[in-house]
Amino acid sequence: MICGQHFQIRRTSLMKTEYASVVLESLKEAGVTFVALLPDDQIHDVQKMIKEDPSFISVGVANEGEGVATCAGAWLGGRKPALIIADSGLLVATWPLASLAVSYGIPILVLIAHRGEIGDRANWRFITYKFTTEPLLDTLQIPYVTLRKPEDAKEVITGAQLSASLWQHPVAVLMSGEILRD
Amino acid sequence: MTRYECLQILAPLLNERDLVVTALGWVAGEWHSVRPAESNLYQINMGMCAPLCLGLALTLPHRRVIGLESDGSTLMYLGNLTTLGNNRPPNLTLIVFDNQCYQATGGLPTATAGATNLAGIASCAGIEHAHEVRTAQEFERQARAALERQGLSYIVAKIEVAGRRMSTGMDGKESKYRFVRYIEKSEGIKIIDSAAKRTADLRDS
Repeated sequence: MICGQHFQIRRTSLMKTEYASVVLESLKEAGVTFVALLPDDQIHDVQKMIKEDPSFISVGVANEGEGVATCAGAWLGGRKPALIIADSGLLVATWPLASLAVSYGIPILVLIAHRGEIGDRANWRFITYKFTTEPLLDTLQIPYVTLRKPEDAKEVITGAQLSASLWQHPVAVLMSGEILRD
Repeated sequence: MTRYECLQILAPLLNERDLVVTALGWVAGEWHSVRPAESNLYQINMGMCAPLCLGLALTLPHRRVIGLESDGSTLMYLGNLTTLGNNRPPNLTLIVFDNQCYQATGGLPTATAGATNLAGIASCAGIEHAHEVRTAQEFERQARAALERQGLSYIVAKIEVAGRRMSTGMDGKESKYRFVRYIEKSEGIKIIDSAAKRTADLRDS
């Protein structure tokens, strides 16, 4: 194994494992079989499940921008791709989202662990994303839907993927609130 | 050695099923003039050609994928070399046309005009078959070897600052549709969904 050991580190807040399973199953239901990801503590468990699940081709990227381009290549080859990142990663990914995904019309499902909602117990660092994530998606002309309750995951994620495919356009799902809480 | 000479050497080495993705810049129009095939995808913007090729090569492991990259584009997402070096799709060949400058935007130097060696970086990033070539003969030898081997290949072609400003005659969306329709036809698959399945169809499937 090239990537070596997996280190378990203490995290202050994270998605419950059962919710991670719900997200994983929803991605499968949506037909997603290719995932580019950059690790984030909030969605660590679902990212780890995807890496270990042979029904996905998963690519760990060094930068979310290359993740967008890798997903685009996967779609061109016939797979349904998802990019699974944090708010910070959305900022990094804006260039390829604008100049490749939106410009060419490439359906990529962008799953974002969204922090910075009022009352979500995130610290001072995360208010940045209250100011950036939603306005950025609006500016990029990437439609998005917010997923808060685990029981809505399947409908929201399959719906977002379906619209991405039919519109040939990236669509984002902001995971926030209960689905991210420990 | 010019990029156009290299492209003329490369084209006859490929078959019509080989998938070729070009970076932005003059390489797109030049390649279109040499090999105007449906299996080409053109003008992928700065930094994105190589990672796009990675996704394509992993998704279609039975097809050869060739990326025509540039030094400026590669330098923008240098971290992608580590992603390539750890995934290593055996059906992917990346050719970096390294003219050591940002030619299409006026010609100011890139880092490879200075101390930076891209083939060396690629090698240290985990790409086993990374080579720098400086003559047309070397280019042809490495291109043939890359296309024949099962293994990720990376060729950095040091080229003159020369080129022809030619157009592919199509925008990104047309290039996309043309390429995707070709993949659908040649793979016997459906990629572009035009209508949602009805709930009853989903239940039956």
